[in-house]
Amino acid sequence: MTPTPEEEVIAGVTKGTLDFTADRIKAWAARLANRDIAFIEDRTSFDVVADQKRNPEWSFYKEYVKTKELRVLIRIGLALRKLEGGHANLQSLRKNILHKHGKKGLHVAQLVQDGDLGAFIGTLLSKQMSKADLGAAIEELLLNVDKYVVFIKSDIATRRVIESTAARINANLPPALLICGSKGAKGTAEVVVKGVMKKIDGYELSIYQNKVKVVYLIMRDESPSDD
Amino acid sequence: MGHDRRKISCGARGFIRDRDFQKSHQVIFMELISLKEIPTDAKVALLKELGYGADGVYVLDDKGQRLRDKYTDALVRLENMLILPGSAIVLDDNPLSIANYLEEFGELP
Repeated sequence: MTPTPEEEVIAGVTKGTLDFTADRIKAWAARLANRDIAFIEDRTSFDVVADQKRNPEWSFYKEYVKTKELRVLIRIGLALRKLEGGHANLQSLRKNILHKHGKKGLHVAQLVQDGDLGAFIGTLLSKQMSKADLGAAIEELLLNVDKYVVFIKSDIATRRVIESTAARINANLPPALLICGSKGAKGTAEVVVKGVMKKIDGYELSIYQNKVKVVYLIMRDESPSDD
Repeated sequence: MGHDRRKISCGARGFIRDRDFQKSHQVIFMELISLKEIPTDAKVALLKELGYGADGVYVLDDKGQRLRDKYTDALVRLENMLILPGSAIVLDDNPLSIANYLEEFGELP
């Protein structure tokens, strides 16, 4: 029986994959040195990270963030966003980040994954900052994510979080502080923000929200005072 | 006036056939090969050619020790590795290692 075109293709692929002569192996090694070949396990999982180079959001971050570790974590945050929806690798990736970069690293990636960093930058852009100031503000936030970002959960003791957040602002006078709440924690985040704003001076509040999340940006008021 | 050959990077799938385009640009191709399609003995032969080894499950370094991923410290298994250009780097296949590699060595064409 004459093979169908599909069978011929399959036969060709099989022949091709069985052709692993010593010369071919040597040629591969030479091509690796020449940077024109790479060996990967799975194209899809590789592309989740590699294809970020075509993501305009990544291009923006790459332009403004110069610290290498932060750039890796930002890229991973974008990959986490792409992997959302019960992907099997999601948990193991989070474990890897925690192991290598600690809680702080995980928070940076989460900030990017959830779009909170984008909301923060959107507010900064509306203030018409210079490129250098914008880059410095983004790096400052990410390098001090544990100090400047508060992730609110629905079951927290609000009074304690209000006290500690206000105390942190009054002691360090940070240029900006983010309070983020998702889904069931949106209402709790609102209570916290209202409480904090009553206890601090010289800061203005911006809000970014959508159906599932809210980000409160508390920024130091840099406008010149009258006195 | 010297010929302006602009560098264009593209994956193996995006093959540029236009001869005039090829003459005026230095086209860089990167072929991505799936290790799933390569039998274990060929993988081991490639690793040996690159100065590594294998014990049947794990990749071994040039001293015969189990190789650890330089970015995550994970042991690199034969069935879950990446071999990437840049002094032929062998890594564990996970997004964190890939992101670190791209940061250190630049984007793949």
